[in-house]
Amino acid sequence: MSGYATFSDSELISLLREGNEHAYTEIYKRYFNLIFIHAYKKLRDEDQAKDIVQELFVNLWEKRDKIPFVNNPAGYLITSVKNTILNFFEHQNVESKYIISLKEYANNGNIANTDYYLREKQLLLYIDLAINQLPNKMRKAFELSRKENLSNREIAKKLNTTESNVSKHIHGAVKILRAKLSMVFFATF
Amino acid sequence: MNAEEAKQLFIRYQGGECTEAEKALLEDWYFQYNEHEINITPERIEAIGKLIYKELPIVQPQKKINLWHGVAAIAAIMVLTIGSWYLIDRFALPSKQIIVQDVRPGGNKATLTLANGETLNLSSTKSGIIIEAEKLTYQDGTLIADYSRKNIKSAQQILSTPNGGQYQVILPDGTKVWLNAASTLTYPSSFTDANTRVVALTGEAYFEVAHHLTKPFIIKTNLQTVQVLGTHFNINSYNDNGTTITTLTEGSVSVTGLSDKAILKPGQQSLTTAKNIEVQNADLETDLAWKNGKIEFRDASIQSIMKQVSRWYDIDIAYQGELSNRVFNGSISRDSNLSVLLKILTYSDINFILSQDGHSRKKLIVKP
Repeated sequence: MSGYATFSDSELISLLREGNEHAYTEIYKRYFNLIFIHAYKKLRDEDQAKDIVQELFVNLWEKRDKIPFVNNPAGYLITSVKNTILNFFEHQNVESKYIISLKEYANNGNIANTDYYLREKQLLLYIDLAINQLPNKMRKAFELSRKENLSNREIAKKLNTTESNVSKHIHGAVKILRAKLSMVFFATF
Repeated sequence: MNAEEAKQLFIRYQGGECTEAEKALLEDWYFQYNEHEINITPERIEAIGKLIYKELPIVQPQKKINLWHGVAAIAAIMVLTIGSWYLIDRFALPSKQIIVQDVRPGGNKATLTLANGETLNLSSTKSGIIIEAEKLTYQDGTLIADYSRKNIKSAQQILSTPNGGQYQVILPDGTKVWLNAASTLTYPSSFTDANTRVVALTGEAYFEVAHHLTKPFIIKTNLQTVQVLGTHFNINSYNDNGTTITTLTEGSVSVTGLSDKAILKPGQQSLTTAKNIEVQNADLETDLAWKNGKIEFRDASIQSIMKQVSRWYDIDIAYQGELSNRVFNGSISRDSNLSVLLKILTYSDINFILSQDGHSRKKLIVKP
């Protein structure tokens, strides 16, 4: 089962859509920290964050065949949790801190960009920042599991070497890292 | 805005009644809200992760899953115990499982035929070659052949990939070509003496044509001729279903068929048959996926997926029984073994039998 760590994000989504439980578990392992920390920041309450994140992942499984064909699961998951949290905010009373904060934000002359592509880019930047702010151990584990996302051809191009060198290095490195990782990350589940 | 209006904004967002500007404002507020440091420890987060995991609606991991319930072992199949850590890790097979040997994906394979008829097998550890009038090198600079002393005028060369092969070539004008599996590109070693730059293609290739003020770049295939001045596009002339598909990403090309002509704009593609040419919007992501190292299919029938599979994995396909007309969506790395792709399809009740005949030719039988 640990082998699913080598699948790219889009492979995992494809497998999840077809009902693969191992892929679902791998997605959970890969993204839980990022999504939980995001929810906790917004809600500042452990129980509320736990409920919302649990609901997100339950829905992810129950509606798995309806997941859109996305290239960016992080974006899809964050957008889903955003919608749930905004729905939660909507049910608060008028004196709640969220509503006051939104009022002040609007009154400070903040103008939002409605261009679709720019907004997509903004979301990706937000996610990149969130990944960088993860506690060290979590960030490293996350980045390692997504390393296979770049095709060997792209990596070779970036490093100015050949694909077969990249392939050899990655397979060698994954072997070593897998042993180390299993102590840090997989053992905790 | 007062507090009541702010609350209304939340409500209208949920009801889908906001303007684009209101939606964007709410979302921008959301993403910057409360972004300051959290005071919960990583250990506590992991603990909550485990708690939630126990409540998730799947069967917890110790269940044994028979991953090959769709595949039968028959006498002609080679049986191997898996030595490769790669395959074991991917599928966590129980140790006594008898399985069929997996099929490795294609790689950098090609042959080059020179004007004198000599054929060179190109290195599989390199990904491309550079053609110049005086010499032939790999893309990393390694020399293959040197003609500087021979005073040879422009000569015709053929780059050819087998099933399971792919290769890149940079032509004497700087045009870059990615050649897919089971394809050939015929071109001259120099364009200087001609008024046009002409090449011939069978199969599939992606072109980034170098700009030239006066010499159009012309690509001839079975059903059509494409003419460009400088641009990026893909030509699929495998003629699956008797159709050649040309997909344009940048620039402008004209496509001339046997009895019809069309001009493409970026994002469009032409479908050329012996009878006519149709132009439609392309799905750039899917049509160029092969060049970006992926096998991707969108709303594809099992037959069209199997055609791609047959060329990249170099196996024959046969069908048994009646398969449904359903379509599939998926995307995996081109470096994946065949089993990865088959696994995805098995979940949709398609079954496979992989066998090998006496001449080591692999065959995949597809059935419901």
